Formats: sequence, C-alpha cells, structure tokens
Amino acid sequence: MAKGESSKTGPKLTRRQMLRTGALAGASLTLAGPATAAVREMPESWDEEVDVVVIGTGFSGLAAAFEAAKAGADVALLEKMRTPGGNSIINGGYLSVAGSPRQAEQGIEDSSELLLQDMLKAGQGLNHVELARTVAEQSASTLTWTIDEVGVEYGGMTQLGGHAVPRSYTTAAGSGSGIVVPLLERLGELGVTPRTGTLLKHLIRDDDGRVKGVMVHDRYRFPDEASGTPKTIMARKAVILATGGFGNDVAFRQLQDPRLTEDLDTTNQPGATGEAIREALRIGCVNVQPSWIQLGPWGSPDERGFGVAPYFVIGVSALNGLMVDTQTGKRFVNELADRKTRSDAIIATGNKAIVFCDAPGLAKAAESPSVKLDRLFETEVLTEYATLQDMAAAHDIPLEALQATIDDFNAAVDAGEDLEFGRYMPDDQLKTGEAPFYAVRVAPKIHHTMGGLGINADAQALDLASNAPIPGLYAAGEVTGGVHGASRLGSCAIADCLVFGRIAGRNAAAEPNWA
Amino acid sequence: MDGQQKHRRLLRLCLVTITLALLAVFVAGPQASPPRSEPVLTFGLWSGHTHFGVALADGNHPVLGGHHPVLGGKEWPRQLSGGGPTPQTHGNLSVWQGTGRHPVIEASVTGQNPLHDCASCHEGDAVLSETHPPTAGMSMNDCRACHVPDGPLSLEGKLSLSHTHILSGVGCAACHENTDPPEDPGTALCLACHGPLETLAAKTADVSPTNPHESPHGPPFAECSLCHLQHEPSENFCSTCHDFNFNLP
Repeated sequence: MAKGESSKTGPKLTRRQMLRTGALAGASLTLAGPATAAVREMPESWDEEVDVVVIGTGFSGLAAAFEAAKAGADVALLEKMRTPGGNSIINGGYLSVAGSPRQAEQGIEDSSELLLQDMLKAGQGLNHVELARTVAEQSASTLTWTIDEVGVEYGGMTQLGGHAVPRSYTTAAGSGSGIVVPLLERLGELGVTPRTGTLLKHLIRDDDGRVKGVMVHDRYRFPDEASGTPKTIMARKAVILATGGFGNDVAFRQLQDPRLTEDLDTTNQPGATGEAIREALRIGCVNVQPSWIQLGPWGSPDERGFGVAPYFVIGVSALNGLMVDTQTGKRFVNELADRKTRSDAIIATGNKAIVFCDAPGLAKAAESPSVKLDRLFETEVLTEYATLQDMAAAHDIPLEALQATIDDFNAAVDAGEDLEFGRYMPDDQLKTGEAPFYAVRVAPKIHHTMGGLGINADAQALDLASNAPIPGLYAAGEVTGGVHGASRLGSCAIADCLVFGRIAGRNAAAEPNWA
Repeated sequence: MDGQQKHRRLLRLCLVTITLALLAVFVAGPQASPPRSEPVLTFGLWSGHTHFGVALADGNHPVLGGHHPVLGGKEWPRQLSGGGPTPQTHGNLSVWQGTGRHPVIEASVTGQNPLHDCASCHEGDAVLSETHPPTAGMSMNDCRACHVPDGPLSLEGKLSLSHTHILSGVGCAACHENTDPPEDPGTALCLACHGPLETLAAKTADVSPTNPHESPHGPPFAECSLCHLQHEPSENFCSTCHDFNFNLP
C-alpha cells in the first residue's frame, strides 16, 4: 500500500496478521476488538525518520522533547493547532512543590508524603498511588529544573484549595506561558521547533506489538479533520503521546459523563479534543477512569472560558474573602476545599453563589504580582459595591443573614479555627467586613479530564490486553489517567505534566533503535 | 435621462446596496464583522474609521461615479480572469509557469517593479468601475490619494494585504524567499518592516477590551500571521477563545 492510503481505507489486514495479532495479545480469534484493530500495515517507506516523535506541545510534550533532545535524540515535535502550548500556555501558572525553598523561607513544614496525602484525599483514593507518589516526590527537583535549566521566573507562592499548606509557586507571568515560552526557547537552542498544523491521524503499531511511527496530516487546519497532507514519520526509538485532555470534546466527554452537555462552558482551548485518545485506544491502550471530569469552581457566568474570574477567586476571595449562597446569605463550603467539593457545592446551590472580599482583602491580594487586578477591573466580571447593602441588593441576598455570616467568620478568625467548614487559617488571616466590597458571580466550568491512558511510573503506555507496556509508546500529562484519581488538586497538573513529560522524554531517548 | 440623472440613480442604487449590507452585518450580531469603533493596527498602511453611508450620501464621487463593485459589497475576486490561479493557489506557481507567468509575480521574482495594472489580472472581473482611471503604474500611495485610509472610500477590508504589499512595491519574493512553493515568511520578517512588536503594541494601546499586541500568552500568540492574513481575509485569532471584537487589517 502506498504511503498515506491507510487513512482513507482503514486497516487492511490479512488473515495471517489477524491471527498473529490475536495470538500476540492473548485474545481469542474473534475479528472484533482493539487487539485485531491495532495493527496497521507498515508503510513500504517512511517520509521521514527520527528517533522520537512527540505529539503535543503543552507542558508534557515540551518537557519530553527537551529531555529527549538533551539526551541526544533526534526529535520531531508535533502540534495540531496553529500555536504551540495547548492548554498549558493559557493555564493559571501554579506549580505545586512540596519542600520548596520558599516554604523553608516562610517556615512552612511540608513533605512529598503530605502532598501525596492531599492528592489522595482529593482523589477519593482512586489515584494510582505509585503515579501520584512519583509526582509528589519529584516536585521539588522539577522546580529546580525549571529554574536552573529552563529559566522560569516565579512570582510568589500561595495556598490553593485542598492543599494542607501553602506550596503552589506562581509564575511571574501569571500564566503557564511563563513556563511554556522559556521551554520553547530552550528547545529552539536544542534545534527542536514545534511543527504546528500537524495532526496525528494514526499511531502505527506493527504486528510485533511495537509502535514504530505515526501517520500525520501535514499543514492541517483545525478543525477540518480532512485537511492537510498525509505523511509518515518513523520513530526509531519511541512515540510520546502528550496530547492533553478532552474537556472541549463535547461528544467524547458526554460518552464519559452524559451530564456534560454542550451547554456547559469550559476553560479549555478548542483543540482539547479526544481524537488522539481514540487513536491510542484503537491500537490497544487502556482507558483509565475517563468519567472523572473536573469542573473548575472559579469560573464566572459573566465571561467566556477561563477568563479573569479565577484570578479573583483563587488569588483574592479564597484567601481574604468568603463565598456565599445568594439565596441564604450563608457560606456553604470551605472556600479552600478541593475543586470537586467546591464545584459540587456551587452546583447544589443552583449556581446561585458569589465570592466576595472587602477593601483590606483586595489590598492584601494586590501585593502579589501574580494577581492581575487591573484586568479584573477592565472587565465587567468583578463589581465594586460601596456598601454591604448595595452588594446584598444587587445579588438579592438577605442582608441580615449576610452580616451574620461575616460576623461568624470574624469570630472564627479570632478563634484561629473555622469550626464550621475547617478552612485553613494562617496566622495573618484577615477579618472581613470593611467597605467597599468586591464580588464575582461563580459557575463551575469544565476544566480537566482526570481520566485517560493507563501508564506505569516509567510513563510507558499500558496494553489493554496484557497490562504490559506497549513497546515504543509513552504517554504523559492530561492524556493519561490515574495520577489524580477522582479530582485533581490545583497546581498539581503542571507538576504531573513536567514530571512525567521528563520521564517519558528520558526513557524514550534511551530506547533501543528498532530499525 | 441625462448623464447626471443616470449617475445619481446609480449612486442611489449603490447606497441601498451598501445600507442593506450594513444592516445585514448588524443583524448578524457581534460574531459578524461589527461596526468599527476602535483604533486598529495599521502596520503603517491604513487605519481608522469607515462610514460608507455618510460619506457617499454626501455627494457624487468625481472619479468612480456611482458604481464601484468592490465598495458595493462584493467579495474579493476568488478567480482571476482567464481561468488563472486564485489568490489561494499561490502554492503552485508552476501552474502559472505552464501558461506564461503572472506579470506581477514575474516582476516580483525578477526584482523589477511590479506593473500594478489591475486589468492585467482582473480583466472582465469588474473589480473596478468603467470610469476608474487606469491603474497601470500606480502605487499604493497613488491609490490612497482617492482611497484615503480614514475616508469613505477606504480600501480597508476590500483589498487583500498581499495586494497592498504589491502595490507598495513589496513583491512576493520580499516575503517568500522560496516561491515554489512559498513558505510562511514568519513574524521576524514582518517585524523587519513593521516592528518591533513594542511599536505595534503602542499603536494599539487604547484598543478595548485589551491590547491585541500584548497577549499574556507570550510570543507564540504574537505571530503576525495568526490574524493578518495576506491572501485571504484576516481573522481575529483571539476570538477563538475570547469575546474580543477586534477589527483588523
């Protein structure tokens, strides 16, 4: 078969190949199922040959490409969209680190074991512990790597929901671009440039079980699946899938959770779709916990996508303010709970919730360079109210109940403990209640897909039939499942992506050359 | 009907067409091209506001008369006369080479001055009115003598940027070192003339709700060709994710 034809005609298998594949996978001799579908005939010749093919240019893909190239591998770095960076370049820029220099400076005691316990608690025990432990244990060395080798600049360190202690570094850029951009620069120095507009169409897995290359569409134009020119690239060592999650793939996400209809907004970029996961499943990967799809509790119905509301909810109100049900005027959840707990609670109010802070609370938050208050005020997402009465009237909140909520919280600050919801209370916790007030309406938005391809701690993709690693195939980041269980903690995505991206890159470069 | 009456009737017809076109834009809502209300990136070529209705209602254009199909809402011509290549098929210059090379491309590739004769490509396409003066030898500046960038006859949005470049003496080879097939020239080349980026950002500092040339997402989102397309209408790439109704050249 001529190169590229396979995409149009589907796999053409001989009976002999099917039998061999079935035998290889330990499956019966039925003609259906992933084992028989897996094999795609090897191209007679490849259009290009490299050592390592990395698919995706978010945190995982860039970290993988960096380590592979640094180890001397010839790397092809592919990106389907017109810009590199995927969700990573628009993400909030929080990196979870247990046992960091800044924690030491501030006298905060932490450990990778404590971070792991936080991850397992939020993940409701569904986490694949070895994977979660790998992220926690390598978080500190990963921070060092971003500073020393990549040149990332950080702003501050903050406390995020579900974490027992402040441990989340924020990039000086206030966005994941603060990591993506320097990584792209370092890769450029290593001679690796993302090939944008290149869509993965097929992983090419030989009947010996090994993934040996990819068929892509060159000059692809999102979202036209048929656009571009078919091209085959041989991966002499390995293919690394770093294609991200599927939060913006309405059909695929509804297969996993039918409640996540097209009416729900998402923080994800338009390219966060599931075609790469589908292809990986087709060649015999295993899907882990795909129904656990996270809604970010800091979205606002008054803007599209991630927007600017999270800067206020995460950087201001969760630390120096409160979240109340506008129907009752009462708090209804720990403002620093994990995302799932908060999102579920907000949804239970019928999305009738606001977060707010007072004047001193805003002023304290403004001290952090990562909180983009100017952008918040440029939009109509954040509203200032001269008095508590004004805010209550604007959102139809019973005023007396709201005042009582504030009084109760201030009493808890005095007591040094939030008996009602168990919120983390630092020594310098501010009381609230001094006008003017600042408020944002909140409504959860689809944010992260915890589920995905099964991998082991070496970032090797696992075979559905055997549970053994698929030779020549690695996966890292949001395309994988298991690290975060039922719910990912904020700032653990970057840690996960960088840790497993680097592992995948190093291991891929160390693979023997099958050709 | 004397000539002047005919002239005015044609002008009225033209105005009705434009008004309907503008109404259609408004009805279509903000996702369609909204009315311009903000300063735009100029690249030093053109900028400003367009008020077709007001200006045309003011009087009779001395040169164009009452008929100008381009300003009348016609799309850019997609197919050149004589079955020649379209602006979208520059990737295959060999097509032209088989039938005689395109004069503008030829001049551009050989470094000679482009001919700038619209009719050499658009003969029969009626991109110009019958009363339009001959364009041979005209430069973009000559065009702007009548088609003032901020004025009612502005060519903004009516003329592809590739044409603006060619008419300004910036031929294909200036951007496409390899013309067969042409490669994306890359932002560094654009900025060699139009940059640096900080200068462009300063020009759009007052654009609401945010400066399109100061993306928090960094340099990957400051690639010129994400928005400013040369051979097809430009796109507001930011609107992929944001409700930013930028108007752009």
